[in-house]
Amino acid sequence: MTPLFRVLAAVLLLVGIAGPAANAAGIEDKIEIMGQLKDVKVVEIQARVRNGLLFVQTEMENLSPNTQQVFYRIKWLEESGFQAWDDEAWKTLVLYGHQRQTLVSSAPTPMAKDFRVILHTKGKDQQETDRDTNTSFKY
Amino acid sequence: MKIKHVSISILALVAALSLSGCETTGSSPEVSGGNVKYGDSKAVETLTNEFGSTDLQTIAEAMSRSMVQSRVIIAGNRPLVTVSEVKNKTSEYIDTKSITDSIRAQLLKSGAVRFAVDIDAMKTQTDELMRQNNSGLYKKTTQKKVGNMQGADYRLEGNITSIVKRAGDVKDVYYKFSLQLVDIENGVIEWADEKDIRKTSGR
Repeated sequence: MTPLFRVLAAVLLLVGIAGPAANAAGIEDKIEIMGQLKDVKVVEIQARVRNGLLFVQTEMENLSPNTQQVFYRIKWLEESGFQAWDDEAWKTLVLYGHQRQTLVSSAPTPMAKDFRVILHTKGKDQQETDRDTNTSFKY
Repeated sequence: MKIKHVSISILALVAALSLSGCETTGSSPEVSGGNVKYGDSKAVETLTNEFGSTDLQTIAEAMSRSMVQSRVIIAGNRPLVTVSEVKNKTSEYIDTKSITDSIRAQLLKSGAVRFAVDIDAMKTQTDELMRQNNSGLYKKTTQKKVGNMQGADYRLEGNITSIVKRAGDVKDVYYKFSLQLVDIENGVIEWADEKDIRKTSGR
Protein backbone atom coordinates (compact mmCIF):
# COMPACT_ATOMS: atom_id res chain seq x y z
CA MET A 1 0.00 0.00 0.00
CA THR A 2 1.45 3.33 -1.00
CA PRO A 3 1.64 6.08 1.63
CA LEU A 4 -0.88 8.14 -0.37
CA PHE A 5 -3.40 5.28 -0.51
CA ARG A 6 -2.86 4.55 3.17
CA VAL A 7 -3.67 8.14 4.13
CA LEU A 8 -6.67 8.22 1.80
CA ALA A 9 -8.02 4.95 3.18
CA ALA A 10 -7.59 6.17 6.77
CA VAL A 11 -9.39 9.44 6.01
CA LEU A 12 -12.24 7.65 4.26
CA LEU A 13 -12.52 5.19 7.14
CA LEU A 14 -12.70 7.98 9.69
CA VAL A 15 -15.47 9.82 7.92
CA GLY A 16 -17.38 6.61 7.40
CA ILE A 17 -17.35 6.47 3.65
CA ALA A 18 -14.60 3.97 3.08
CA GLY A 19 -14.82 2.16 -0.22
CA PRO A 20 -16.71 -1.08 -0.55
CA ALA A 21 -13.72 -3.25 0.11
CA ALA A 22 -10.09 -3.15 1.02
CA ASN A 23 -7.79 -4.29 -1.76
CA ALA A 24 -5.46 -7.25 -1.31
CA ALA A 25 -2.73 -5.14 0.26
CA GLY A 26 -5.34 -3.49 2.51
CA ILE A 27 -6.61 -6.87 3.70
CA GLU A 28 -3.09 -7.93 4.62
CA ASP A 29 -2.75 -4.81 6.74
CA LYS A 30 -5.95 -5.56 8.60
CA ILE A 31 -5.53 -9.23 9.45
CA GLU A 32 -3.21 -10.99 11.85
CA ILE A 33 -2.96 -14.72 11.31
CA MET A 34 -1.84 -16.90 14.18
CA GLY A 35 -0.86 -20.43 13.27
CA GLN A 36 -1.87 -21.80 9.91
CA LEU A 37 -4.76 -20.59 7.80
CA LYS A 38 -4.64 -23.40 5.30
CA ASP A 39 -7.49 -23.51 2.77
CA VAL A 40 -9.26 -20.53 4.39
CA LYS A 41 -9.07 -17.23 2.56
CA VAL A 42 -10.09 -13.76 3.70
CA VAL A 43 -11.87 -12.58 0.57
CA GLU A 44 -12.91 -9.10 1.58
CA ILE A 45 -12.89 -6.70 4.51
CA GLN A 46 -15.15 -3.68 4.64
CA ALA A 47 -15.38 -0.99 7.29
CA ARG A 48 -18.06 1.60 7.91
CA VAL A 49 -18.87 4.09 10.66
CA ARG A 50 -22.53 3.98 11.58
CA ASN A 51 -23.95 6.12 14.41
CA GLY A 52 -20.43 6.82 15.59
CA LEU A 53 -19.43 3.15 15.85
CA LEU A 54 -17.03 1.35 13.55
CA PHE A 55 -18.45 -1.71 11.83
CA VAL A 56 -16.23 -4.31 10.22
CA GLN A 57 -17.46 -6.89 7.73
CA THR A 58 -15.11 -9.78 7.01
CA GLU A 59 -15.87 -12.30 4.29
CA MET A 60 -14.08 -15.63 4.49
CA GLU A 61 -14.05 -18.58 2.15
CA ASN A 62 -13.28 -22.21 2.79
CA LEU A 63 -11.26 -23.35 -0.23
CA SER A 64 -11.41 -27.02 0.71
CA PRO A 65 -14.37 -29.45 0.50
CA ASN A 66 -14.00 -30.26 4.23
CA THR A 67 -15.61 -28.41 7.12
CA GLN A 68 -13.12 -26.14 8.83
CA GLN A 69 -13.10 -24.33 12.13
CA VAL A 70 -11.57 -20.89 12.50
CA PHE A 71 -11.08 -18.94 15.71
CA TYR A 72 -11.30 -15.18 15.43
CA ARG A 73 -11.58 -11.93 17.32
CA ILE A 74 -11.26 -8.26 16.51
CA LYS A 75 -8.69 -5.98 18.06
CA TRP A 76 -10.10 -2.46 18.25
CA LEU A 77 -7.62 0.40 18.06
CA GLU A 78 -7.74 4.09 18.73
CA GLU A 79 -6.57 6.55 16.14
CA SER A 80 -3.19 6.66 17.85
CA GLY A 81 -2.80 2.88 17.56
CA PHE A 82 -3.48 2.24 21.24
CA GLN A 83 -5.86 -0.60 21.96
CA ALA A 84 -9.33 0.90 22.47
CA TRP A 85 -10.88 -2.02 24.35
CA ASP A 86 -9.93 -5.15 26.29
CA ASP A 87 -9.16 -8.31 24.36
CA GLU A 88 -12.34 -9.84 23.02
CA ALA A 89 -13.23 -13.45 23.69
CA TRP A 90 -12.10 -15.82 20.96
CA LYS A 91 -15.04 -16.92 18.86
CA THR A 92 -15.51 -19.94 16.66
CA LEU A 93 -16.54 -19.87 13.04
CA VAL A 94 -17.55 -23.08 11.29
CA LEU A 95 -17.02 -23.05 7.54
CA TYR A 96 -18.55 -25.89 5.56
CA GLY A 97 -16.81 -27.12 2.43
CA HIS A 98 -16.40 -24.27 -0.09
CA GLN A 99 -18.64 -22.02 1.99
CA ARG A 100 -18.32 -18.24 2.00
CA GLN A 101 -19.24 -16.70 5.32
CA THR A 102 -19.59 -13.06 6.29
CA LEU A 103 -18.88 -11.83 9.81
CA VAL A 104 -20.09 -8.46 10.95
CA SER A 105 -18.49 -7.01 14.07
CA SER A 106 -19.24 -3.69 15.71
CA ALA A 107 -16.86 -1.69 17.85
CA PRO A 108 -17.69 -1.51 21.54
CA THR A 109 -16.80 2.16 21.80
CA PRO A 110 -16.77 5.22 19.54
CA MET A 111 -13.08 5.57 20.44
CA ALA A 112 -12.30 2.63 18.15
CA LYS A 113 -11.16 4.06 14.83
CA ASP A 114 -9.15 1.15 13.47
CA PHE A 115 -9.11 -2.63 13.80
CA ARG A 116 -7.28 -5.87 13.18
CA VAL A 117 -9.04 -9.15 12.45
CA ILE A 118 -7.11 -11.83 14.34
CA LEU A 119 -7.51 -15.33 12.95
CA HIS A 120 -6.36 -18.59 14.45
CA THR A 121 -6.83 -22.13 13.32
CA LYS A 122 -6.30 -25.35 15.16
CA GLY A 123 -2.74 -26.64 15.07
CA LYS A 124 -1.98 -29.17 12.36
CA ASP A 125 -1.69 -31.98 14.92
CA GLN A 126 -5.12 -31.21 16.35
CA GLN A 127 -6.71 -31.07 12.90
CA GLU A 128 -5.24 -34.46 12.06
CA THR A 129 -6.47 -35.87 15.38
CA ASP A 130 -9.97 -34.55 14.68
CA ARG A 131 -9.96 -36.10 11.21
CA ASP A 132 -8.66 -39.43 12.49
CA THR A 133 -11.22 -39.66 15.27
CA ASN A 134 -14.03 -38.22 13.15
CA THR A 135 -14.88 -35.63 15.81
CA SER A 136 -14.46 -32.54 13.69
CA PHE A 137 -18.11 -31.69 14.32
CA LYS A 138 -17.25 -30.76 17.90
CA TYR A 139 -17.60 -27.03 18.36
CA MET B 1 16.27 -9.82 70.96
CA LYS B 2 14.55 -8.40 67.89
CA ILE B 3 17.11 -10.00 65.51
CA LYS B 4 16.55 -13.37 67.17
CA HIS B 5 12.78 -12.99 66.67
CA VAL B 6 13.24 -12.18 62.95
CA SER B 7 15.58 -15.15 62.50
CA ILE B 8 13.01 -17.50 64.00
CA SER B 9 10.34 -16.09 61.64
CA ILE B 10 12.54 -16.65 58.57
CA LEU B 11 13.35 -20.19 59.68
CA ALA B 12 9.62 -20.87 60.14
CA LEU B 13 8.85 -19.51 56.64
CA VAL B 14 11.59 -21.65 55.03
CA ALA B 15 10.31 -24.72 56.87
CA ALA B 16 6.73 -24.02 55.77
CA LEU B 17 7.78 -23.66 52.12
CA SER B 18 9.82 -26.87 52.29
CA LEU B 19 6.95 -28.80 53.81
CA SER B 20 4.40 -27.55 51.26
CA GLY B 21 6.65 -28.58 48.38
CA CYS B 22 6.72 -25.10 46.81
CA GLU B 23 9.62 -24.21 44.61
CA THR B 24 11.06 -20.85 43.79
CA THR B 25 13.58 -20.34 41.08
CA GLY B 26 16.05 -17.56 40.86
CA SER B 27 15.27 -16.93 37.18
CA SER B 28 11.52 -16.37 37.30
CA PRO B 29 9.06 -14.71 39.67
CA GLU B 30 7.02 -17.89 40.10
CA VAL B 31 6.25 -20.15 43.01
CA SER B 32 5.09 -23.40 41.51
CA GLY B 33 4.03 -26.70 42.97
CA GLY B 34 3.77 -28.53 39.67
CA ASN B 35 0.56 -28.85 37.68
CA VAL B 36 -0.93 -25.38 38.05
CA LYS B 37 -0.59 -22.87 35.24
CA TYR B 38 -2.35 -19.74 34.07
CA GLY B 39 -4.23 -19.88 30.78
CA ASP B 40 -5.92 -17.53 28.34
CA SER B 41 -9.13 -16.40 30.05
CA LYS B 42 -10.60 -15.57 26.62
CA ALA B 43 -9.81 -18.94 25.03
CA VAL B 44 -12.58 -21.03 23.46
CA GLU B 45 -13.46 -23.59 26.12
CA THR B 46 -14.83 -26.91 24.89
CA LEU B 47 -14.08 -29.17 27.83
CA THR B 48 -17.71 -30.20 28.24
CA ASN B 49 -21.09 -29.44 26.73
CA GLU B 50 -22.29 -27.43 29.72
CA PHE B 51 -22.61 -23.66 29.75
CA GLY B 52 -19.09 -22.27 30.03
CA SER B 53 -16.92 -19.19 30.09
CA THR B 54 -16.89 -18.81 26.30
CA ASP B 55 -20.71 -18.85 26.23
CA LEU B 56 -20.87 -16.20 28.95
CA GLN B 57 -18.34 -13.96 27.23
CA THR B 58 -19.89 -14.40 23.78
CA ILE B 59 -23.40 -13.61 25.03
CA ALA B 60 -22.29 -10.56 27.02
CA GLU B 61 -20.34 -9.22 24.06
CA ALA B 62 -23.12 -9.81 21.53
CA MET B 63 -25.85 -8.32 23.73
CA SER B 64 -23.94 -5.22 24.81
CA ARG B 65 -22.78 -4.47 21.24
CA SER B 66 -26.33 -4.89 19.95
CA MET B 67 -27.90 -2.76 22.66
CA VAL B 68 -25.63 0.25 22.09
CA GLN B 69 -26.96 0.31 18.53
CA SER B 70 -30.60 0.54 19.66
CA ARG B 71 -32.55 3.67 18.85
CA VAL B 72 -32.99 4.73 22.48
CA ILE B 73 -29.26 4.49 23.17
CA ILE B 74 -28.21 6.17 19.92
CA ALA B 75 -30.45 9.12 20.86
CA GLY B 76 -27.50 10.00 23.05
CA ASN B 77 -28.98 11.08 26.37
CA ARG B 78 -27.43 8.17 28.31
CA PRO B 79 -30.67 6.67 29.63
CA LEU B 80 -30.85 5.23 33.12
CA VAL B 81 -31.33 1.46 33.10
CA THR B 82 -31.89 -1.09 35.83
CA VAL B 83 -31.22 -4.78 35.53
CA SER B 84 -34.18 -6.98 36.24
CA GLU B 85 -34.20 -10.75 36.25
CA VAL B 86 -32.80 -13.02 33.57
CA LYS B 87 -34.64 -16.29 34.07
CA ASN B 88 -32.76 -19.53 33.73
CA LYS B 89 -35.14 -21.89 31.91
CA THR B 90 -32.48 -24.48 31.12
CA SER B 91 -32.07 -27.78 32.94
CA GLU B 92 -28.63 -26.84 34.28
CA TYR B 93 -27.41 -24.35 36.84
CA ILE B 94 -26.39 -21.09 35.17
CA ASP B 95 -25.48 -17.96 37.11
CA THR B 96 -27.52 -15.49 35.04
CA LYS B 97 -26.45 -12.65 37.36
CA SER B 98 -22.92 -13.18 36.15
CA ILE B 99 -24.09 -12.75 32.54
CA THR B 100 -26.01 -9.55 33.29
CA ASP B 101 -23.08 -8.24 35.35
CA SER B 102 -20.82 -8.66 32.32
CA ILE B 103 -23.35 -6.99 30.02
CA ARG B 104 -23.73 -4.12 32.46
CA ALA B 105 -19.96 -3.70 32.82
CA GLN B 106 -19.48 -3.51 29.05
CA LEU B 107 -22.34 -1.06 28.60
CA LEU B 108 -21.09 1.18 31.40
CA LYS B 109 -17.59 1.09 29.97
CA SER B 110 -18.91 2.16 26.60
CA GLY B 111 -20.40 5.24 28.27
CA ALA B 112 -23.66 4.83 26.38
CA VAL B 113 -25.92 4.15 29.35
CA ARG B 114 -26.08 4.64 33.09
CA PHE B 115 -27.36 2.05 35.53
CA ALA B 116 -29.48 2.49 38.63
CA VAL B 117 -28.96 0.04 41.48
CA ASP B 118 -30.95 -3.12 40.91
CA ILE B 119 -33.18 -4.90 43.42
CA ASP B 120 -30.28 -6.98 44.78
CA ALA B 121 -28.24 -3.87 45.59
CA MET B 122 -31.15 -1.81 46.90
CA LYS B 123 -30.84 -2.92 50.53
CA THR B 124 -27.15 -1.93 50.63
CA GLN B 125 -28.05 1.42 49.05
CA THR B 126 -30.84 2.23 51.51
CA ASP B 127 -28.83 0.97 54.50
CA GLU B 128 -26.01 3.35 53.57
CA LEU B 129 -28.42 6.29 53.22
CA MET B 130 -30.06 5.48 56.55
CA ARG B 131 -26.69 5.11 58.27
CA GLN B 132 -25.50 8.49 56.98
CA ASN B 133 -28.73 10.25 57.94
CA ASN B 134 -29.87 8.50 61.12
CA SER B 135 -26.78 7.33 62.98
CA GLY B 136 -25.64 10.80 64.05
CA LEU B 137 -22.08 9.88 63.07
CA TYR B 138 -21.75 12.01 59.95
CA LYS B 139 -21.25 15.74 59.37
CA LYS B 140 -24.45 17.36 58.15
CA THR B 141 -22.63 18.85 55.16
CA THR B 142 -21.42 15.44 53.90
CA GLN B 143 -24.63 13.49 54.47
CA LYS B 144 -26.23 12.30 51.24
CA LYS B 145 -29.87 13.29 51.32
CA VAL B 146 -32.74 10.85 51.30
CA GLY B 147 -35.18 11.27 48.45
CA ASN B 148 -32.73 11.99 45.64
CA MET B 149 -32.40 8.53 44.12
CA GLN B 150 -33.21 8.45 40.43
CA GLY B 151 -35.81 6.17 38.94
CA ALA B 152 -34.62 4.15 35.95
CA ASP B 153 -35.99 4.90 32.49
CA TYR B 154 -35.65 1.32 31.24
CA ARG B 155 -35.59 -2.22 32.62
CA LEU B 156 -33.35 -4.93 31.19
CA GLU B 157 -34.83 -8.42 31.44
CA GLY B 158 -34.63 -11.72 29.66
CA ASN B 159 -34.25 -15.45 29.81
CA ILE B 160 -32.01 -18.28 28.74
CA THR B 161 -33.45 -21.53 27.43
CA SER B 162 -31.91 -24.72 26.15
CA ILE B 163 -32.82 -27.73 24.06
CA VAL B 164 -30.80 -30.84 24.80
CA LYS B 165 -30.85 -33.90 22.55
CA ARG B 166 -28.99 -37.15 22.73
CA ALA B 167 -28.63 -39.77 20.02
CA GLY B 168 -26.28 -42.62 20.78
CA ASP B 169 -22.98 -41.12 21.75
CA VAL B 170 -23.79 -37.69 20.38
CA LYS B 171 -25.13 -34.93 22.63
CA ASP B 172 -26.40 -31.69 21.17
CA VAL B 173 -27.15 -28.62 23.28
CA TYR B 174 -28.77 -25.51 21.87
CA TYR B 175 -28.85 -22.38 24.05
CA LYS B 176 -30.90 -19.30 23.32
CA PHE B 177 -30.33 -16.13 25.33
CA SER B 178 -32.99 -13.42 24.91
CA LEU B 179 -32.76 -9.92 26.31
CA GLN B 180 -35.11 -6.97 26.07
CA LEU B 181 -35.14 -3.33 27.14
CA VAL B 182 -38.52 -2.17 28.45
CA ASP B 183 -39.61 1.44 28.93
CA ILE B 184 -40.67 1.42 32.60
CA GLU B 185 -43.17 4.27 32.26
CA ASN B 186 -45.19 2.96 29.33
CA GLY B 187 -44.25 -0.72 29.16
CA VAL B 188 -43.04 -0.52 25.56
CA ILE B 189 -40.25 -2.92 24.56
CA GLU B 190 -37.72 -0.60 22.92
CA TRP B 191 -35.06 -3.15 22.03
CA ALA B 192 -34.66 -6.91 22.03
CA ASP B 193 -32.09 -9.33 20.71
CA GLU B 194 -31.16 -12.99 20.88
CA LYS B 195 -27.94 -14.93 20.84
CA ASP B 196 -27.97 -18.63 20.13
CA ILE B 197 -25.20 -21.14 20.66
CA ARG B 198 -24.98 -24.78 19.57
CA LYS B 199 -22.59 -27.21 21.19
CA THR B 200 -22.29 -30.78 19.98
CA SER B 201 -20.08 -33.47 21.38
CA GLY B 202 -19.46 -37.13 20.76
CA ARG B 203 -17.54 -39.79 22.58
